[in-house]
Amino acid sequence: MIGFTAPWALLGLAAAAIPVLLHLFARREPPTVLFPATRYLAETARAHHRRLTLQHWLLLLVRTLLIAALALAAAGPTLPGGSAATHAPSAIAVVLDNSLSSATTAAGTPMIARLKDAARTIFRAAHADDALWLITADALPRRGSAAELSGIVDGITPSPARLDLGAAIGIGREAMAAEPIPSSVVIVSDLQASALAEATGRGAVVVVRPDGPSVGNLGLAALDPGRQPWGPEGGRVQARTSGTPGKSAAVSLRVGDRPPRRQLATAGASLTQASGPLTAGWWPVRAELEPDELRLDDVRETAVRVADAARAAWKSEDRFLATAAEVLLSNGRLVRGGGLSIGNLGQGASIVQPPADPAAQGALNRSLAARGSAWRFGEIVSGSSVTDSGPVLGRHVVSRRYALLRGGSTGKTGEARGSPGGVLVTAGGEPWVVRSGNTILLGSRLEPEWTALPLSAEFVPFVDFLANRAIRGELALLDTAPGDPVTLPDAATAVIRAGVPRPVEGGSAFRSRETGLFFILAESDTIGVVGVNPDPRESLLERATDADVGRLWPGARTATLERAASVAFAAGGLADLRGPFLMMAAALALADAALAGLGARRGARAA
Amino acid sequence: MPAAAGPSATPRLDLLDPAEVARLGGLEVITEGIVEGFLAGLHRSPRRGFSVEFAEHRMYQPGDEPRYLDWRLLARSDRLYVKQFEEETNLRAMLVLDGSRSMDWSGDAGARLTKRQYAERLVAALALVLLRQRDATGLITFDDAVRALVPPRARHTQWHLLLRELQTTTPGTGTAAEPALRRVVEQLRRRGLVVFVSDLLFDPPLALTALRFLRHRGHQVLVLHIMDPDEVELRGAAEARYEDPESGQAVVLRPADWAQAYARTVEAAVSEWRSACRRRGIAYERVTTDTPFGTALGQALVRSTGLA
Repeated sequence: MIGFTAPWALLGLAAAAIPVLLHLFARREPPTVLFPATRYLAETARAHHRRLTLQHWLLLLVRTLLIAALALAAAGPTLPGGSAATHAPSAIAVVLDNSLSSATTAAGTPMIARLKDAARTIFRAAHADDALWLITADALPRRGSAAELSGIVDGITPSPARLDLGAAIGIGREAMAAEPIPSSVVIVSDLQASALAEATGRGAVVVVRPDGPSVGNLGLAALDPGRQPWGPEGGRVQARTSGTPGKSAAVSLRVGDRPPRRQLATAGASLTQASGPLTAGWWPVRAELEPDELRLDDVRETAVRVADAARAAWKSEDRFLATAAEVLLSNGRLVRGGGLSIGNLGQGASIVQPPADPAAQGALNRSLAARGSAWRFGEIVSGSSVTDSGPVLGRHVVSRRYALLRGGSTGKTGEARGSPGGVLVTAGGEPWVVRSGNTILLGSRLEPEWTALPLSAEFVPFVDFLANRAIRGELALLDTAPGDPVTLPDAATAVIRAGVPRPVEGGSAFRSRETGLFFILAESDTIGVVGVNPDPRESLLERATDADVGRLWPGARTATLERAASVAFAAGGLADLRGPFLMMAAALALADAALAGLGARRGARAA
Repeated sequence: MPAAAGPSATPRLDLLDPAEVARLGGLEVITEGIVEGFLAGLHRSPRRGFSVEFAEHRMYQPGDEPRYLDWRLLARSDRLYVKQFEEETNLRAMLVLDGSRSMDWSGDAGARLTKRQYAERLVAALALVLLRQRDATGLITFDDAVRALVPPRARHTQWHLLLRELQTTTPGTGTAAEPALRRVVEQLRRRGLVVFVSDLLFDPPLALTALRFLRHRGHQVLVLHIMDPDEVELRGAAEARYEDPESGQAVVLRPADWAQAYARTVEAAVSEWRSACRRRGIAYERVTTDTPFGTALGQALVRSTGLA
């Protein structure tokens, strides 16, 4: 539908009636001249009457149209779907998808080079009165002139980060919200299907993408070392691939300084490798694929913590706990010693059951408080409940328990992520196993009268978890993608990579745009690691169809990269029709001059 | 050689601009001047010299052919005389002048003669030439009716009689050429010359019928179509209402827009008259009022008598 940027100028259309009004009402009587040869004039008029009358009306029409064309041109007519050359002032947010997948090379040409070319052609087609933004995988909208943004585009390289195109559209729309001129978001992307998401806001969307099918790819989607820490006997790492179905490649898995092992894998395959015995400490784990068209997703890294078995002491009166400890002792998971007291509050680290005699509760609470524990035992809670299934423990009946109350110490406890306030297990929604510092409090005694857990097969692994992992403060093994935030443990004081420490605040969000391993320090202790690895969705290069685009972004227009400039200003932008109208006016003026030059434009009328 | 035989320093009136000539004097005076100049410009005297019968002597005038000199008389009297010869049969000529209102018009009053004024002088000159040839010459003026009729005579007073009629006739209103031409038949019993002088702004059929009738009677007929230059070429820029002084017919137009089409129409009308006359054996000449009288006389005499 045609629109006008200065609709008040349409009042000028009234002037189009001037020629007609002059013709009808403003004809003056000309002076009379005696002319004997009037018969020749009359004969001439008769002979040319039809042609001259036609010329007369044509001239009237031309002049009326000329005024109308000028008035319409002054009103700034626009039409949806402007071309690159003749578009009305527009706001354009170009989303240049330099996410990890843009590093793909096809037929010797990097995808990022093609995308950058398309973005540059859009900026070249822009006018001075256009408002331009550039959004890349870092999700920051940059406002600038066409030259400035073209300069930024020149320096752009593939980012290891993922770009959510739906979110990018929302960012672009938000950036342009204050612009009074028509706006549109132009996506310049390889258009991975996995990058599409619903967009917030409203507005036009233009998608320019490569033509033809995407190339095949295989990437490493995950690298999981399992529960931490490992014992000296080592553990197993599991790698998982993703990518184009049927594509295969050799995967090399390496733990610590041990020689890598290679296995052949296809898309979606899981590969497991045992590490073998390792000495205590932090060890890097690295999985690597053979090079293919997309190199940035061929490496994945994490780290494992190897710790010696806990040195523990326990009392034989605690029949079920003692039995479990003996089992762990026989399997090398425990060593007799004084480092850990299992069952009661000792001098050092302790796994504390509530007292069998309620009268001892007060003394125990005072001792806990004296050690700076943030938790204490409350009243006995009657009624049966069930432990809530979680990463630490499954569902088990709890017949009797003490309420575990928080209070007392405010010191840092080093609780792991996923256990807010040091709560490791809940029963009926209430804390049942909690940790504060090097002390773990159990809400029930591990006896059948209190809970069915000791009678279950999960009991010994649970005790192993408490003695070898939980008591040490569960390790922060965090995995995130470039640019995505991750919450650091409360005890974190610095993050170190390649020997370079970076101070951080405990509990704050950490993000890195680079891939790699970032060890988390609590003062001088390493308490975890953040593995920044590519988002596995970036390995899926399958391209979204136009139907996918239309479903997620209704009304979006798609085109190939080669047509970027011609379509970029088409959806939200408006074709500026001032030029055509002015050209029409010029043509009408020429027609007027030609008609007038033919003579007899006033025509003749018999007196 | 006498001084009279040398070239004259006096400008020839027949070659001057008609309007300038008209300002030099009355009809009689300037007509004589025109004719004298015109005849002086001829290399031989009209209709003399090929007749066998001697008529008279006259003083030699510049332009006379030496072969007509009377050498005997020169020897006797030491004066230059030329011999003049009389044709065996004298011509009877009738001049028919249109005196309608349309003739009383000039496109540039003051700077140009009206068609009527021009035609009067041309008719007077023609009459003088004819009378000097001793041709009996008469005159009919007409507008919407015949206004004056002077029967053809060859007397010495005939020319002055014609002049008086020309000067006393006032412009009429309409144009009725056919009755005037009918009257010519009554006046020319024998074969003669009819010179029809008009702006031809009337419907041609009747006039052409009468002219053809004259031609059939053996008369030599010459039509002099008098036009003002502004009738040939439409001038002016501003829109105007053009009105015919005779019929009252009017057309409103802007001359600049119509000039080309009008010129084509006029040219077509002239061509139509010329071809119609040619088909009937009638001589036709278009004369514009800025044409020197000598030129017009030459055209008329060449077309009517074959002399020049």
